[in-house]
Order: sequence, then C-alpha cells, then structure tokens
Amino acid sequence: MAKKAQRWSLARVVISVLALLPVLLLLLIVANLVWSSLPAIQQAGLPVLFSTKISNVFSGVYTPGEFGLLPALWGTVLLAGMTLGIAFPVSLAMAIFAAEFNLKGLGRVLEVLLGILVGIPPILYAVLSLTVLTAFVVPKFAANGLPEGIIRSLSGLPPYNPGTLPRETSTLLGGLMLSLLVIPFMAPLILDAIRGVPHDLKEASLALGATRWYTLMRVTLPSALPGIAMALSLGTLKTIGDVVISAWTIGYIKNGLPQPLVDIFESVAPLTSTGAGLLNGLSGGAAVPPGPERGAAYFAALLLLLIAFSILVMSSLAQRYLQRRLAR
Amino acid sequence: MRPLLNSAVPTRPAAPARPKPARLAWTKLLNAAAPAVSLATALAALAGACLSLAQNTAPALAIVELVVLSVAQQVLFLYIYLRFAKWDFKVALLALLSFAGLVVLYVMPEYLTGWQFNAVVHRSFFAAVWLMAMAIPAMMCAIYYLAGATPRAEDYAHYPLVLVPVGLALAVYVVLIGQLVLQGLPNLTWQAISKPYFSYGWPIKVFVGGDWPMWSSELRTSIGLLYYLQGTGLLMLLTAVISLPIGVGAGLYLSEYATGILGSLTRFAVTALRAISLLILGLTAFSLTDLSSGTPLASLLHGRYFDGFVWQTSSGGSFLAASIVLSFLVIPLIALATEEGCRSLPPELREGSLALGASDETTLWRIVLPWSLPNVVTALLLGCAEAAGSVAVLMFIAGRGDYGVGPFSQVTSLAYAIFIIWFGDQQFKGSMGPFLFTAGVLLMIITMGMGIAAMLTKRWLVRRHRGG
Amino acid sequence: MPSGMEIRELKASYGANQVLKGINLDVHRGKVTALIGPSGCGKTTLLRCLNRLSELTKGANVSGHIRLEGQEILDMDPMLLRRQVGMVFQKPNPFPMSVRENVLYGIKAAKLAVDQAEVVKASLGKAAIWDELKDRLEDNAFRLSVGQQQRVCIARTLATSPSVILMDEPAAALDPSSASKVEASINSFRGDYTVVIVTHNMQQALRVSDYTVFLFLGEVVEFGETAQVFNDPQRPETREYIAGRFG
Repeated sequence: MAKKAQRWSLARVVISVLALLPVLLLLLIVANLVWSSLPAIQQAGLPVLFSTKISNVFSGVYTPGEFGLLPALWGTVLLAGMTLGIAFPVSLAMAIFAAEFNLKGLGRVLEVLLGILVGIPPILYAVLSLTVLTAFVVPKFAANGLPEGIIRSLSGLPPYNPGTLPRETSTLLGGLMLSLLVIPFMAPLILDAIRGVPHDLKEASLALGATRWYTLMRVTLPSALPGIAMALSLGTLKTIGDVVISAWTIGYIKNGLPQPLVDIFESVAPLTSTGAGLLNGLSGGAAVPPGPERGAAYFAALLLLLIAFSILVMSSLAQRYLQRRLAR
Repeated sequence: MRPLLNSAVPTRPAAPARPKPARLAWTKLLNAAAPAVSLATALAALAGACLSLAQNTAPALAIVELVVLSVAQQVLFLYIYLRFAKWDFKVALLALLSFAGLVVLYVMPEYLTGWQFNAVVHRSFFAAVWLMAMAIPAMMCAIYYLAGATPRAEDYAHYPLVLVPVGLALAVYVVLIGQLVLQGLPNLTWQAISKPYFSYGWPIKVFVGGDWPMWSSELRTSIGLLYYLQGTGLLMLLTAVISLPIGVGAGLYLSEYATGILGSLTRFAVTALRAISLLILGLTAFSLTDLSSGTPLASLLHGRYFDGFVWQTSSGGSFLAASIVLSFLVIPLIALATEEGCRSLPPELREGSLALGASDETTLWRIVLPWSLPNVVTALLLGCAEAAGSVAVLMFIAGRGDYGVGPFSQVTSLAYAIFIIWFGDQQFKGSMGPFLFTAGVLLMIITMGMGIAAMLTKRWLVRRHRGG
Repeated sequence: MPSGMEIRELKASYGANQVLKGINLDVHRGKVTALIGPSGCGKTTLLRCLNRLSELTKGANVSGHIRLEGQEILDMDPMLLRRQVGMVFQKPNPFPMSVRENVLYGIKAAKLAVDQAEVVKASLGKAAIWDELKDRLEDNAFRLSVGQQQRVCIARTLATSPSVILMDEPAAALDPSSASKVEASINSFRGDYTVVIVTHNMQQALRVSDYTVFLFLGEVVEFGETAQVFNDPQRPETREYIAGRFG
C-alpha cells in the first residue's frame, strides 16, 4: 500500500493529533515516575534503595528508613522464572496440538476455549488461589509461611473454611496462579507463529518421507522462532507487570533475601506488590505522606519500567536476528 | 476410456488377492497384547499420578502401580526382541526407573524437609511426579509398538506428549472455575445485586415540631453489591467513550499516514503502553488525583460526593480519573486492532473509491472504517472487559463507594470490592466476606460475557460488512 | 533401482469437486513420463496422489488402485512410500539450513546409515550443481539463486535413492539457463530412476520424456510414446491441444 504524498486535510489533522496522544501520555507517565521517585533517591540514596532490608508502617516490624528493593527484584525474577517454566511448555503443547496434532477438530474447540479463558481478569485468579491453597498447597507443601496448615494437615483437621479466609502466601502459589493467567495469552500467539510458517516448507519435508513430528521439530518450530520469541517476551512482560495476583498470593514486603535463594516456598514479594505495599499497604486506606517512602514506591515502578523496556528491546533484536536468518 | 497402451515394456499383472486365513486374526491379537497391556498400565499410572496430585494418598497405590508398570515394561522389552529382533533400551530404562521409584517411595518418610527450604513436602507429590514421568514415555513406547513400529506410528506415539499437558491444564481450569461457581452461586440472591453495601440516603425522617419542618438523613445499611455493579458499568462506559476516538485515530494514523520518525515513535508508544506494568498505571492514577501535590488537575479529578447540601471531597479519585488512566491501557488495544483492520482492506476497494473521485476523507469514512469495524468493536469489547476486571489501576484511588456512583464520585468497582473484601478493614471483611466468591462469579460472568460477545460480534460484523 | 507404477480407476475429489474421474495408466520403469494438459485438468492432483501428498488437503478423497512394483500404496505407511517416491516442486522450497543439511535431510529423517559426505557429493553431482557448490556446502540455502535452489531441491530428493521421482513443473519458475540444466539432469536420470513430470511446456515434454500422457478434464485422453503422441495424435482433443488451439 503506497503512502503517496498527501494533503493535510481536516481528517488527517484530527487523526494525527489523536495519534500523538499516546506518545504524550507515555512521556508524561515516565516523567511522573522519575519526578516522584526523586525524593527517595535524593534523601535515602541508591545504596539504601538497593539494600536487602525493607520494612514499612504496614508490615509487622517497622524500622524507618529501610526501603531496600533487592529482595523485590529477586522476587520478580524468581516469580517470572517459575511462571514461564510452567506456562511456556503448556502453551507450546497447546499450540502444537491445535496446529499439527489436531484430533478430529478439537484444536478449534481449544482455540475457542482459550479465547474465553483469556478474558478472566487477574483478580479472579487471585480469589481462586484460595481454593488452590486449601486443596493443594497446604496439604502437600505446608510451608512455614503457612504455620496453621501443617498442623492441620498433620493432625488430620479439615482444611480451612472459606468463611474464615486464611492468609497463607508463597511464591509457589503465585507462580501457579500467574501461569494460569499467562497460558491463554501465550498459547494463541505461539499458535499464530506456527501457522505462519510457509506451507511449502512443511510439504517439502513430508515429501522427503519425514514424519510429522520430525517436520515439526526440524522445520516448523525453527521457522516459527521469531513469533515464539515474541510470545515469550510478551508473556514475560505480563508476568512481571501483574500486581493483584502477586499481592494476594505472595504478599508485599519481604525483608531480606530468601535462604536458599530459589526457595519458592517463601513469600518473596516481587517489585509490583512491594511498590503497591510501600504506598498504601494494600489496605484500601490512606497512602503514606510524600517523602522517601513514597518515592521508593515510585522507584520500584521505575525499575519495572526499565526492565520492561529492556525486555522489549532485547526481544525485538532477537526477532530481527532470527528473521534475517530465515528470510529468503 | 481405454488408454492406448503403446509400450515395449510388459506390465506386471495385478497380484491375485490372497485369502486371509483365520489364524491371522489370532496372531494379530497376540501381537497387540504386550503393547496393549503396557499402554493400560501406563494409563493407570497416569490416573494414579492425578489422584496423588489431588489428594494425599498413601504410597501403597503408587508402589503397586510402579510394580505393575515395571513388569509391563519388561514384558514389552522381551516382546520387542522377539518380534522385531532389536533391543529397545528406552523400554529397559523405563522398567529400571519404575523399579527405582518404587524403592524410593517405600523408604520415604511421609513428609520431607531439607536444604533449608521453607516447606514440608508430602511424599504423594513425589509419587505423582514420578508416576507422570514414567507414564508418558511408557505410553509413547506402547502406542508406537501397538501401531506397528512404522514411521506413522512414530507420529501417533507423540500424541501423549502433547495431550497430557493440555489435558491437565484444561482440567485445572475446569476444576477452579467450577469451584468458583459452586461457592459463589449460593449467595447470589436478588438482594445481593440490588442493594448497596452502605449508603447515606436522602432524608427519610421528617420532624415536624414547632413551626418548621426539619429534614434529617439517616444511615441505611444493607449488604449488597449494587454500587459495585453500577461502578463497573460506569467504568466500562467512560473508558469506552474516552478510548474509542483516540484509539481509532491512532490506529488510522499508524496505517494511513505514519512515516518516518513520528510514525515509529507512535508505534513504539502504542506498544509500550501495552507492555508497561499495571503498577505504573496505578501510581499514575494516584499522582493524578493526589491532593497533596496541589495541582488543579488533581482537585478536578478527585472524588467528591454531594451530601444533600454541598459537594464534599472524599478521598481517592473519581470515575473520570480512573477511566482516563484505564484508557491508557485500552487505547493501544483499539489502535492496533484498527490498524490491523485497515491493513486487511483489499487495495482494490480503496483504489476503486478513489478512482470514482471520492476524496481521502470520504474513502476513510465510507470504505476504510466500515471495513475495520469488526476489529474495532471486538477490541472495544475486550477493552471494556479489561476495564471491568482491573484492580491495579484503581488500587490507590478507589473506595467503598459509600456515596453512590457518578462520574465525579469516588471510583469503585466489582473487582475492587473483591480486592478489599480480602484486604480491607475488619468490618467490611466481616459483613461482606461471604460475598467474595459471589462477586467473583458476577465478575466472571461480566468479563467472559464480553469475551464471548466480542467473538460473536466479530463473526456477525464480518459477515455483514465484508461478506465474509 | 527404478520402479514401475500402475494406476487403475483412480478417482480423486476435494469436497464436492471431482478432479480425477477414473485414471488408468502405466508408468514404465526407468523411463520419463510427461503429463500434459490444460490448466485445471488434474495433472498436479494426479501427481500428488502418487506420493499421497493429496491427503494433506482438507476434504481430499482418493479411491482406486495405485501400485508401486505390485504393492498397493494406498495401504502403505505414507512416510515409507515417500521415501521411495520423491517429489520436486514448482517453486523451489529449500529449508533454511545449509546446503549440506538440505541434501542430508531425507537421510537423517529416515535414519539411514550412509557415508554422508559421499551422498552429498553424488546427489549434488547428479543435479549438476556439485562444481558450483562444492566449496559452499555450509552456505544457507536461502542465499542461493532460484535456479541453484531448485537444483539443490533435486539433489535433496535424489539423496534418499528413491525409485520414482515426481516433478511438478520443475523448470517453470527458472531462467532459461537453469531450466536447461534441470532438463539435462532429467535426461540423465533415465534408466536409474522412473520420472513423472508435469509440464505446461510441450517442447520440454518433447525434449525430455519417453512417454506422454494427455490429461483433459480429469481423464486420460491419450497415452503413448512421446514421438507418436506429438506427431500422430489419435484423438481430436490431443490434436487441438498440441496445435495450441486451447491451453
């Protein structure tokens, strides 16, 4: 579609003005983040912000002046790793099923199901975590973050009554619920990538006597790598950006790094819920007054922004490299 | 039509049909026995794994299944040698690992701790993992040999590798959503959706004493989700109204006029707005409405209520503020959908319109926009579903909705209500606690309904506008 | 070793569209057979039935008998069949791998134990491209010219030593120089392979084939030695087509 030299009609002016708004909004958001995190950087300083001690008026023990975000950073990494470790293989399997190993049209049914499931908002997965918690996590993993749980399961008491709303948290639970959120999002993207592979390559492979699985592994999936990389990066962005599920299932302040580091049974709050917790403790009440604590919350958000942008940049570089290798 | 055969090379006569002896049927059965038994044990192992995941079963079941699996694999191993004259080491390995697994399970204590992990793991988890790890390869080998060990059998053999994860994931979704419905439906009464939680009402008592009638208002408390439902609806409406023109405009720009740096910048901004964390948007909403920053914008967007005499400011932000920030999220959705719709327009339609003398605007309005209508409407509905379900954006500015719902009152929504049933003050938790799952069911109906509506409308609109 | 094929009462339809209405044909061992006919008469469909690629299209229905050296191919495992019956497509479709990996693809897919370097050299040689590419074996096949890509595809098909090679207008997308190289390769296949080639180019059929089949509206109208079909066609439709009155 050629973009010919066009006159500036009224429609074009209106459309261009409307289109510039997203750019403006993005700039304003970033500027606001930087401006509001200045108090923390100036008053508390970067070393404090990257220390491992953090506490808050809303968490149990409060020592003023502690806003170390390193545990939160690690929490984000741990959570993302666990979530993608579950969600990516399952999404890949779903996409392969719908595209290649389609049994009697069930692939189309799966696509419709995924289209329905993708609309479930994160808050519902957070609520559902209570069910998963009482039915699966507490009986099987009764972690120390869940003190009541092990006593109950060991002594044969019945699990919690939903009316009393238990409050156990762990990264395991967060990772499980977050992967449920991400799977209906990633699977259609991978499916599109697989379907986008040119048909003649698949035919050539089959004409040489290769099995469908061999074709999939050696021709189809390698050719679909750019799309799969994009799906993976978008899934990662969704994972690290989620607030509600991590706040509900993991908690929001984690003092100190977990021992050992990959302990998924601890509640290592990621950057999102830590930032939210620093601001108002998630109690629905008033926020902290302006100052270094509030600045720390904005700083956490700024860190998230930087991480998100670098993931975007890396993924588009990776996609460009892969596409160059596959271009005819 | 008889072909004119004109060849010097004699053709081979067709092979006569061989009669199938009755014995062949029996050998077929025997041939299938070993792999079929192996398949059956593998399926049983898979079922056992699911059972162990669902409940803390005793190890006896897992041990029995591993024994049977191991024996079946050994039988299969011999059968493969006898029939195909080769040693299939995969099967031997499976037999060995199954045996190792059952030994480990036998000696394992009921709960395992170690390596300073903050957990105590029940042995049924290990049983489940081991059974699953044994079952899937066993199924694959069994299917391969059942289907005759040909290349096509290789394809059949890979089905379990794909089907088991898919099936398990779908089962989890079904169970969880089922639980939500089961626990939420009993409390879904008419009162729940028709009454607000807490509201100040208009005067209902009139004191007629002396010469002057005096009005006084009275607290009405009731337990229900009405304001939250209204809030969700208002949020969806305002977000749609704000984001539709901007989104369509940005999308048209990207597909029609975007060139050079400004075009790439716009595209980057649109992609970035979808990629940024919801926390950032929540903090932006907070900054917009935070009175302590003192900007006039903040006081404009702040929540307020009318107590019968004068407008008072409440804490938090208004629906207008929340919708503005939510549209940051929805605009890119609509923009990308519009752009995709415009790009799918066949060039002949556009050129045909221009060739008839129509101006750019007319072409845009009459041809391009109607063509992208299905995409736009779908994206709008999905955007509304996101607005309905969002909590993170509202988290810092929303409230309980005590004073009713309107564009300038403090924002509240069903999703936020669910959030503060968990995190809110004790009184709210106490009285609204039973409504947690009920509100969840309602929210699910709303969001899933919009998703299904989006799919159906797209199909209907494509048929109407594109003859698809 | 080349093989002969017998086709009896082959019918093929895609959904409601009956493309082949009962084909009876013999493909002679070690000879080149050309399929000619106007567009849409079913030449490509017939070709794709011979290695069962027709099954990849939704709604495809194939019935009848096709025998490869007496074996009924519609009962065979399709992958085993395709290792004996190779195909070269109209648009060259090399894999996005090195030239060597392309040629060895079929060998590795069938897990054949062969001397790989020897197979690569022999296949590329038979496809008349060994001298051009012998120092460029690790180059990505996508970087080659279209003519070179097609010859690599031919080499790839030859590597598994099929007994029948099916070719769907292999030179149609190529420049004249590459086209003539491909035709020279086809001529060299005579005796070692059985070739069935679909072509729109009647001069090409004259140049390379021993037998010619004229297909029209899903039926075999005429079938015989090339010289006889072109110089002395027995049927009026054949005469009209060869004279270029329709196509």
